[in-house]
Amino acid sequence: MAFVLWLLMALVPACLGKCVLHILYRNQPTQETSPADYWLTGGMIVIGLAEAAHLAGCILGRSFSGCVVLFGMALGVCLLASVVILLLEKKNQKKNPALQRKAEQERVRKAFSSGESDKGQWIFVMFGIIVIVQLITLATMQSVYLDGDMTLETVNSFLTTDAIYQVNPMTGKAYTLGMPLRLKILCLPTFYGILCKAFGMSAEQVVLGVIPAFVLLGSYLAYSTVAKKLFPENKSKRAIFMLAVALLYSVGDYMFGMDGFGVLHSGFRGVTIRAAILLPYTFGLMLRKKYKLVVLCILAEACIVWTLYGMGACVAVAVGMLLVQFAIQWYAKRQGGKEAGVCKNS
Amino acid sequence: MQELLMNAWNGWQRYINDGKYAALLMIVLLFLWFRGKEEKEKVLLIYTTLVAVMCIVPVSAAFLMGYQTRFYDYEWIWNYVPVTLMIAYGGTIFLGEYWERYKKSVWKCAGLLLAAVILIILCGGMGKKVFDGQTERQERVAAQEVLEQLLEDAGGQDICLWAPQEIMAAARAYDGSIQLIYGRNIWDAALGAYSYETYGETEENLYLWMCNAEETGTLTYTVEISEQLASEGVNRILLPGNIAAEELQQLTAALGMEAVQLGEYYLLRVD
Repeated sequence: MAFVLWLLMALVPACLGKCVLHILYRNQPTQETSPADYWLTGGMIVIGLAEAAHLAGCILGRSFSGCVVLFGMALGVCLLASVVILLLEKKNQKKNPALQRKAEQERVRKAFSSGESDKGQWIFVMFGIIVIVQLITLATMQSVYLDGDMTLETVNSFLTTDAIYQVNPMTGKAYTLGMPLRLKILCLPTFYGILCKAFGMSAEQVVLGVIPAFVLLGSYLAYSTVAKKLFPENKSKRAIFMLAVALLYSVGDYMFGMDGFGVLHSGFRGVTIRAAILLPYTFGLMLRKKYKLVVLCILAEACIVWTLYGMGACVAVAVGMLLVQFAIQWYAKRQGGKEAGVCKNS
Repeated sequence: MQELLMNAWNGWQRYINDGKYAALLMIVLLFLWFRGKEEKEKVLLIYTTLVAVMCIVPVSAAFLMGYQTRFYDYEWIWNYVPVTLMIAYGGTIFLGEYWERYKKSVWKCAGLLLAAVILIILCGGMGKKVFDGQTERQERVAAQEVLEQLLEDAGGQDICLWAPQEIMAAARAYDGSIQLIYGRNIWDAALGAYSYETYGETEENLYLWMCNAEETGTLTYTVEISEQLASEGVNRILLPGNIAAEELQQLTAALGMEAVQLGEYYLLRVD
């Protein structure tokens, strides 16, 4: 079942994401999105579906099993719709000569682009080796930091009581004073519990083994989209960039709160998913001016991290980058206006 | 506000204490600003510089800490700064430019790459560990073996457990059906933020009693102990195995229970 979980977690988000990107960016060239974008977008959609199932449980009082079924049905419907939409799109492409030409040009561009300089290949190999070592360490749960976190206890509580937040995860006894609502509405423990229940795995296997591995891979996917934006025509530079990220992670686990510490020792936490996946992806999307996807990042963060009424790091980054962009444009216009004035006078 | 400012000041000291990624970021920013070529990614560079400065200056850092909510400490405001991204970007630009210059010499290119890798390693933790993951894992596995035996012994009966710290820490992470009289949040203060629940005098006394038993191997039985256990509904007690046989006998006689060896612990059942 672990293998099936791995396979589905790799494929389902990618399928969902491809459909969503097709809907959001229908009129834009396809080379502006990549398989990494599909998986990351699909991952955020899956978080959204988990949040809906979680809210059904903790606010509407549905049982945990009911939430599992609800999530499964919602995911199934979305997946089915995605497949239908993508098949229809492919059919339309075949019927429409203009679209067929566009797809052919895309195929030709991809074929030629694979002839780019292969200097980066050996750097990619080094990157691959580091990633494999990191994945093995994560999958064997060699070094997990559990202080200050109760995800495992929470997931086990949901599975045992078949209810969401009816008992204190720390003791297993009913709450007397309750917990903060802002914390209660976060969906990660429910999502992990759904995976445990659906695939018959223990909380430890999913939370400490499977999820951190996917967060690590998701993080590298996010950085790969940034690399593609920063170095669009140079494979070697993209390889160096990815190698640098992997190295920074490997030796950067010297303090709780560092990106490396999060991905290597506590990948299941919402703050780690934000720091390792959502934030780098947000930076990349802002550079690529894909603002609709930034909205998804903001919503995903609100579902998994305690933020100030939904205003989290992704919003701050997006607003900050926009302000800087406007400032640069304003300054450039002002400089352009001054130079035009000087030319006119001379 | 004063507290936030103090946290911001002390937080920056902590942030640069162990590893030097902040210093590496500064080097990269200086390189990108002063390398004499127009920066293609101006937005990213200006944004990173501004927000990094905001994270260092205590007043703006306190504002960012207020924005992120008091649930998080100082180091989390550095999430707003793309530290990993910029260091990787700056390093790539540097290597790319100098590789162009020395492209005919493979050794110079390899040497530059090696130098960059060594710089990153030196600015990292240099192998220093924040926590002993191996030991914690071994303790967790050992505790899980004891818990497995405990559940087998209980034969499906609901358990309310009182045990030494390492067992209590692993219990609910292992099996959600095990109830505890207190959880990890009695010694891990960071977990206190997750709920409004607090512990009373009973739980704190029992926690301190067990800590004393683990450390000294001595048991001080009082009538209050058995009353407190009864009020909490405890039906399984695990005591550390380093307790003297005499003291254990006195305790079990006073509680009216029998002690059974369970791994490195003594199990007392309340039926």
